[in-house]
Amino acid sequence: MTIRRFRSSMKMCSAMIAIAFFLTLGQGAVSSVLAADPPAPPPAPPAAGSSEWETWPKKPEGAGAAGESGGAKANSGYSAGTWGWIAGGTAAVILIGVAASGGSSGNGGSPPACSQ
Amino acid sequence: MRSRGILAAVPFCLIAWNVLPASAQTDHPAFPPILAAAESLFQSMKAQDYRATWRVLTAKSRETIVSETDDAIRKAGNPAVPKDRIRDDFAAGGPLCRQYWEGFLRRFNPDDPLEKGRWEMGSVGKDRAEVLITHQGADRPAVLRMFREEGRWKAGLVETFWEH
Repeated sequence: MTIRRFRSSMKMCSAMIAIAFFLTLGQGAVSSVLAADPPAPPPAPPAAGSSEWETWPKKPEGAGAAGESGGAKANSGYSAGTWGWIAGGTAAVILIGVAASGGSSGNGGSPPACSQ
Repeated sequence: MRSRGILAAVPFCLIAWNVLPASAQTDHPAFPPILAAAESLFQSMKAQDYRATWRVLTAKSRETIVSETDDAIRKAGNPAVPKDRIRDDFAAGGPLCRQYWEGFLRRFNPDDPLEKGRWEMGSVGKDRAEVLITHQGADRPAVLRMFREEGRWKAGLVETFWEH
């Protein structure tokens, strides 16, 4: 019997709190609307394709992505230099030349690794 | 023995060809048009004159850019655009062209070679040449490969930076 009474009083209490909460909210909203100046109109959405409306950097798609990829290649190639690859090619030619000259002076041109 | 000597000389000739030309050839008559074409590549990018950028690129560079743009459009799930239309758009400075070069310039600053790079002539042939551009503080230069096509010097953007 006491439990049932306790439950009903709890329900009443929570209902009162909820009503008070919503009344407070509503009054605040009404008073702020009455007190404040007329709100500024929201900014007009930009034209399609414009980047002004972005709230975070958008990942480019399509042609923009291809351009970014190309720009990254140019940037890394320019910053690091492409000379090294030419030097690498030259080094490879030197190695081939040395190997060829060494091979030609051997016994019949057979590779040294196989002459067991 | 003689063949051994010749083979040994080949690498030294190659090194000399790569290292010496900038200092050895100073007054070649082809230098001004080659340098002008190379410079106009970066100047047109900076000025966002993408039609001029397109004109100074080699045929191979243009075709690669068209193919990569086509692939990127497909990957993004957008409706496919015929390659001819992409090509025309780039030549006319259309929306795809602008998107591409804006993306490109987000990653590459043309002021770097124009204002902070040291420019030297590399080897010069009848239809091929090299312009060495050394980034400030870099150990080695970027070798911009130039090609003579249709009687004009064109910049091999793809040939230089994509294929190394």
